[in-house]
Amino acid sequence: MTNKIIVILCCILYSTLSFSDEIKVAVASNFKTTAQNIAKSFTRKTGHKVTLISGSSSALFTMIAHGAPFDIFLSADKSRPLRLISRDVADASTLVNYANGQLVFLSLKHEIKSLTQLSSHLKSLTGKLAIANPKLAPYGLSSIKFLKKHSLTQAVSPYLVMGNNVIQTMQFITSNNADSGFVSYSQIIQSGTKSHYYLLPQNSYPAIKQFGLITNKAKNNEAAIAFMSYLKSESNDIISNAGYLLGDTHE
Amino acid sequence: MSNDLLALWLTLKLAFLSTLILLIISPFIAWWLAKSTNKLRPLFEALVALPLVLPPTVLGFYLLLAFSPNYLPGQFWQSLTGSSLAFSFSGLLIGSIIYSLPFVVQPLQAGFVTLGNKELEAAHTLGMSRWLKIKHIIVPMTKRSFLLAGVMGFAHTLGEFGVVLMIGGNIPGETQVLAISLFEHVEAFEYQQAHQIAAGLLVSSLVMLVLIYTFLQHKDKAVN
Repeated sequence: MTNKIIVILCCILYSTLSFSDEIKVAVASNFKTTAQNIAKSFTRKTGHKVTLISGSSSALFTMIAHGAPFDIFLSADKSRPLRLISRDVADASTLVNYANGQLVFLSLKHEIKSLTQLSSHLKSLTGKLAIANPKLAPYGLSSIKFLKKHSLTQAVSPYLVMGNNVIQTMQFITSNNADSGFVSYSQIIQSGTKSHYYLLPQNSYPAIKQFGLITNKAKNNEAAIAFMSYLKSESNDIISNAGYLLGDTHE
Repeated sequence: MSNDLLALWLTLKLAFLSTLILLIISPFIAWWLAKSTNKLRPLFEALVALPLVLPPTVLGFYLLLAFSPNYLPGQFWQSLTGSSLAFSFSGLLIGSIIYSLPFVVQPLQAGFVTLGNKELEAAHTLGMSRWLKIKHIIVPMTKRSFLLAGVMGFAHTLGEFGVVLMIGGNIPGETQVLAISLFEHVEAFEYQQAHQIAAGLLVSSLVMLVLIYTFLQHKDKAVN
């Protein structure tokens, strides 16, 4: 009887050991859906399982800096991965610019077709303008820099409301509580919104470069290394179809 | 004034006004919940308790929808005041009142349940008016519950986060309360400011609760 139980226990134990490696990828919430698609095709090709953990870049950073068991960190900016490197939690040689975000002006009522039109529209706002909090969200930082560059900060400041991230910012607009705002192009594509949007010219705002890296605990993990190279070399279609520009190769 | 001081002032204002309004409306709700034999009572009891179980972001999301000009409550407010409820102090106040409602209603309800009917019946036979009964019997006998309800409502509103995050829009001086600026400091790696606010909230909440429990203990002794 005891033998039987031991055999059964061994079977259970054995079944929990996986043969292909499983990796944990911490991904900034704006890139989550895209990362899901990439992970799916990566698993199909290699057999390695991918578990995604999404959250704001700074929340994920804090978790990793305090020992969270994540193998890869896909941040929405460069500063957080750099902080991990300076803390010796990750290695600079694994740093990759995997995608660049694009900024969009979304408006429920007004159709904007050019930068001049946008600028004169922002000078005569009547309703709330939603942006992501520039202190927390890279898209927010880029939006504020866009407004500064075009000397619009003063004109819009009485109308500004700030979302915690681009996702919440978009929620403010689509729920009609704010008239317009700055969000990411990938959200426009994902949501399939029918509202008017204007894709800002790339040279009108600082690029939103998203960086990722492998943490030190996974630096010898073959599956993690394979995922990073898959992300950089075989995911171009998925990334650009999701509304991102491809990252620079040499960064 | 720095943004953090502004946030402190705003938080106190919000907590004070929410508690005041809650202490005016909650006794009626609590009385009905304590005394009614209506079959629908459990439903209303559950509705009051809902903010205890629902994640605040859920409540915040529904409030955001309700405040928008697409739906009736938002339209009504807009036509009444000409301004929108979302991203405004009034909006936060409504959110806090709903969110802190169970913290004020439940202690009162518990107090009213234990309130004996004997005294009330005696007062009734003496021909005491309803107002006199409230003034001379009900309120004095449940003072402890009122105190507890007020402190719980106040303390709970001080720490409110999820609802404000959803409907506030983080505007300094208007909707950026302490919990929100604390969150912002943490996420932006400004740990020193974050520590200041966190420690302040921790200590003041602890002091407030210790004071109230000490006070209640003394009262218990006096009664015994």
